[in-house]
Amino acid sequence: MRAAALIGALAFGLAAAAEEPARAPAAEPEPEEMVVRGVRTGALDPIPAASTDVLYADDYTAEQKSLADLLAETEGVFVRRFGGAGDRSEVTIRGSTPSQVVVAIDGVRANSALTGGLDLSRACLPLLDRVEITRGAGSGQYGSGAVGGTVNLVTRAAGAEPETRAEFRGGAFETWEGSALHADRVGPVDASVGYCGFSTQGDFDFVQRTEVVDGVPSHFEPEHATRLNNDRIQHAGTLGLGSALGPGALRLSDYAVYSEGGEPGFDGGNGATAGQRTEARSRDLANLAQLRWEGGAPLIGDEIELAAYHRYERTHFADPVAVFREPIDVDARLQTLGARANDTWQWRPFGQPLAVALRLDAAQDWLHASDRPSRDRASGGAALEPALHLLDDRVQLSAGVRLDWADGFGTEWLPSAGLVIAPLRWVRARAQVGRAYRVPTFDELFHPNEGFITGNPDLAPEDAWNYDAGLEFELAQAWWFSDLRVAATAFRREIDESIVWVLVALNTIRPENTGRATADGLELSGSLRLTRFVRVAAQQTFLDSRRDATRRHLPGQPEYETNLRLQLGPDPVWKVVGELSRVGEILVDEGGSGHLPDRTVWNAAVALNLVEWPGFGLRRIVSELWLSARVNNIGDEAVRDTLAFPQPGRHASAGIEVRW
Amino acid sequence: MSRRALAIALIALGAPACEGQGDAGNGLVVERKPIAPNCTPVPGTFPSGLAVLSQASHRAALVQTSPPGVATFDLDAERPVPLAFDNIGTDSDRDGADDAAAMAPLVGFPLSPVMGGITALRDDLALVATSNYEQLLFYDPSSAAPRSAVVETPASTAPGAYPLLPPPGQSQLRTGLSTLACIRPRDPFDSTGEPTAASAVCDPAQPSYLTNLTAGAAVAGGRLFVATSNLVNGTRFHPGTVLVYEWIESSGALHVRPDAAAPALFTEHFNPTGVVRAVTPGGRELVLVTATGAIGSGTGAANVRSEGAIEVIDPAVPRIAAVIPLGLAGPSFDAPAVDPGGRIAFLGASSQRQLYAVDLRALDDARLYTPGADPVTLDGMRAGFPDARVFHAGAPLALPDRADGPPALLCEGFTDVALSAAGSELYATDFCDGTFTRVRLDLSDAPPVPFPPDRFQVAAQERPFAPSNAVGLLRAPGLVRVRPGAPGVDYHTPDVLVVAGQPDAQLCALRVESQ
Repeated sequence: MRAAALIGALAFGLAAAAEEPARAPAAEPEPEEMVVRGVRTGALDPIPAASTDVLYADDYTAEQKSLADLLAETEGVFVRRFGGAGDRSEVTIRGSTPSQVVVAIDGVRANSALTGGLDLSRACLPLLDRVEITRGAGSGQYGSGAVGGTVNLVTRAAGAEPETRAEFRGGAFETWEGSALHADRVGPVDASVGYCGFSTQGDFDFVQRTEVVDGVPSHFEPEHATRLNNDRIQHAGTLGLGSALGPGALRLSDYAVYSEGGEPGFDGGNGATAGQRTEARSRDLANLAQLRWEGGAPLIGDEIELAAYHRYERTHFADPVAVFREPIDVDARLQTLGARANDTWQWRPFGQPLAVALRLDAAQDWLHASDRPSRDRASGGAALEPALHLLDDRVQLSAGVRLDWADGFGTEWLPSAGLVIAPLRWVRARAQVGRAYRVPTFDELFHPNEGFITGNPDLAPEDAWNYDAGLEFELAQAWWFSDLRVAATAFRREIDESIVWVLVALNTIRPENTGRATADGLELSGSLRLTRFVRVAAQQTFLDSRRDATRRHLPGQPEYETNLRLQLGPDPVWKVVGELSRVGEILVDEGGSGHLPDRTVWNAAVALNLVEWPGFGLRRIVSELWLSARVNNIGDEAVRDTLAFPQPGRHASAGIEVRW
Repeated sequence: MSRRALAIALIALGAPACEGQGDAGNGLVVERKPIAPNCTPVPGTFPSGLAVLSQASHRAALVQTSPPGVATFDLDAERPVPLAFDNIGTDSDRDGADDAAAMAPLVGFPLSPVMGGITALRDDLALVATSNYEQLLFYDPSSAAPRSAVVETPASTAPGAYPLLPPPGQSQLRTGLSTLACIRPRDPFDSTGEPTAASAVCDPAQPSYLTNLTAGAAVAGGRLFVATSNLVNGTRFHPGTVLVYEWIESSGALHVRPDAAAPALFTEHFNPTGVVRAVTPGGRELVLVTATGAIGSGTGAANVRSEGAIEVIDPAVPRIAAVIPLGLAGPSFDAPAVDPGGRIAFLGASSQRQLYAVDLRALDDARLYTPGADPVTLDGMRAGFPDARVFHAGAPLALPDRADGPPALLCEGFTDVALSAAGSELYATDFCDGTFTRVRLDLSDAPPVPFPPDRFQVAAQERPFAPSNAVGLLRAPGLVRVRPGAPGVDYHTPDVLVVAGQPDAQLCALRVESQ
């Protein structure tokens, strides 16, 4: 039934799209490729001193990946999943917590002011153009929260050519997902509208954990269980409207998502329910709207951005099953109204380019919830970020300082500095240092005292310094290889007053500021092509995060993570993709005794663009038409990122993706 | 590529695509590794009970909540060595019905057992309490193996009085004894003064409720006594009960059935939890019950909603013979720790850093056991009877503060106590500040009842654990137990066991007298 509803919604979108005549490029045979072996240097992207990655969604066409999948394959990033498709997933960077990463949509912070993190499952990849990941920096732009780094989700907007794309797939656990997006110019207005729907029955079989001490096992009965009450339906949509206005462009963008489903919570128990919540439900609605003008005005700046935004979030959670307490029925509404102004001036003092950016922003949060008094909080900041390019861009010096203010926490200075040395166009060394901090969330401060859980209004902000240094090079051609890129970055984060939920009394947990901790790590990445048929990419992250006082590891993060991707085939004709993900042991408790085992997970996908096959004769109708299939966790490994949230074993899906 | 090749590729990819169970290899094994040389991780979380067995066995049995079951440890090492674990299973009492499903008609949804305390009667028999599915499980604590008993329901028992016992007049070999009973309270008001409603699943015609939160148990005088807290929700309690069963061991077989004369005793105070058998200096066998009074899950004096007491059951009758009030004390939920001579019993406090004690010599007064008499309150206000209180809410034995302990607002104190094997010292842990305090006892001679407070002096306070708000350190000590026998003579390994570090707990062995 849900699948039918989704198909209906998609059909509506496709019907609208079908009114537009197909504008596929003329079918012409590709010229034969001539290969010249030798070494030809490449040119690195002119990125600043920070460790930044940009992932383009179109690079993964027809692979049926989620946003969480993409992020998980990035060095330094660990995605913590709480189940399968549609279940919560959170991003952490370099050993941070999820609330120490700012996740933004089109440059606007989307993290929940209530809980701090952002559920990645609420972001629909087909509606995104790209994902910008910054590791170990971002405080200058976002202020509070960018302790681990930032992730910016950029939605699809109209390009030079009209475009329509649609996708539908279905697979294990009665999961159906579809999307449709159309972008075009209508007179002076460029417009894009997209829809993404998701539905899953969601129940999957899993194996409960066995705990072992000195070789003596303890296990649940039965050992196998089913993830219950795990259905979910989700609708998301984007709208983008843009038009020239004065010396710039005005753009309205909106991202809305509604989600409703069961909340099975922890597993770990005997019997058919395995300790899960059988009746708990949640629904949430979020909307993020932004009006932004970008342009340049000679008198007041070379690159000016003025934006106002509104973020709305409503969550409802209910669990009628109550033992020795009242049933839970909580409704919370959060709103944020904010504005920002960025202005960049460029000069050439002493013949060297100098850019100075000034950023101003302010926001006001309001919380209204049925289980606590209403709260509000204002925040804002001002940042100045000069960047000097010397010796024909061979040396870049950048610095910045932000004065950040949050109601109840006063002001904080957040300085940063960076250095990039590129003696050659294809090799670059860089280093950066910066301070970050995070103001506690509403939940951390004011969670109502429910006996077993309570907030802590006396919390201090988290305070951190990030350092990293790296080396990277890129060769356009090296013998049989092309697009060879290798990067290595060492990083350190020193954090004080980090906020952790602690069992402070026999039955009460509450957030506490803890002592100092240090995270040291190394990120390695590399990629290459071998002819036009083979692409290989690999990332490796080593992480050693410990509390300074005890030298014990921090929980929740693997000590290492390896991702390997092999793509065969002449994209965009066909491709076969194999992925390997290896994750080290994960400490699961602050006491330091429990460890989730290391794991190796294999995934595979195959996709065929029928348009490229003359026999099908589709080129006159569409520009791309992909049939695809994917198998996740081929080895059927027991996978968990946290102790009490199982993830599915082997499961598969098939789909179709079409573009005009 | 031909269409045939495409079809083959898709089929090849689809071949392994049947949904897996995520159980390749060994499934999901969580390794718990020791983090201190004297501590062993518990093979699960939230341990709820600990019992040390005889001097000869050198073993201890521990109850844990998740996975729910019983584990045994060998104590002849610097840290306890796990030997075996038994999951109670989905039909824990082996009555042929799934536990959770059996509870569903009674409460409206499935409820699985939640583990509670353990009472070791012998090296081969212990009673393990579970709540939600209310019962006592029979276990061999030396091997963590379930044991069976013949559970009977007298023919005279009213239908529905014990919803999960065999039907009246029948018996069944089971590994657990249901403590789910229909109660018609003598005083039908809960701890907030609200009248008790009629229960549709118990007695729709009059104020009634089903027992819940099965807690401590003890066997005395041929009877089994089981405390049930009877929580309504939050800090509201129905009147507390001690269920009474006949306990008959003959020819190696154990028979248990509801007591025909007095199947349930109502405690004078709310929330009966700990139960222990005691023998007074005069040789009188009694059952002591900790009744904490209505209490919340917070900390500090405000957490205590009504007065608590140690209530004294004469197991021979059975009836509550005496009450030793503690005031607004909020004692710990554990059973009173009784000295080997039966002269004094100590209790910790669940909301403050202090201890309570009562003088058991007052219980040798034969007048307390006059048939048909009301319970006598031994607070010194009853003519002819002494004040049996040594330390109570108005005059507690306060433990020293730890300078680097947590703020009182966070955790004022949660203490557990045990007495040394010789009865010369009391050991107290505090969950909040992580301290281990030794109190010297002077029980010599025969001073008037009650013992003067100055006979109990804090001898030392150690800091083997971190305060409860510390992160990444072993902290939050709770249950404390002492090995029987003379340390350094009967055994040479540590003499005290402490459960610390909830919820991912450790069983730690401390050398106190066994240096």
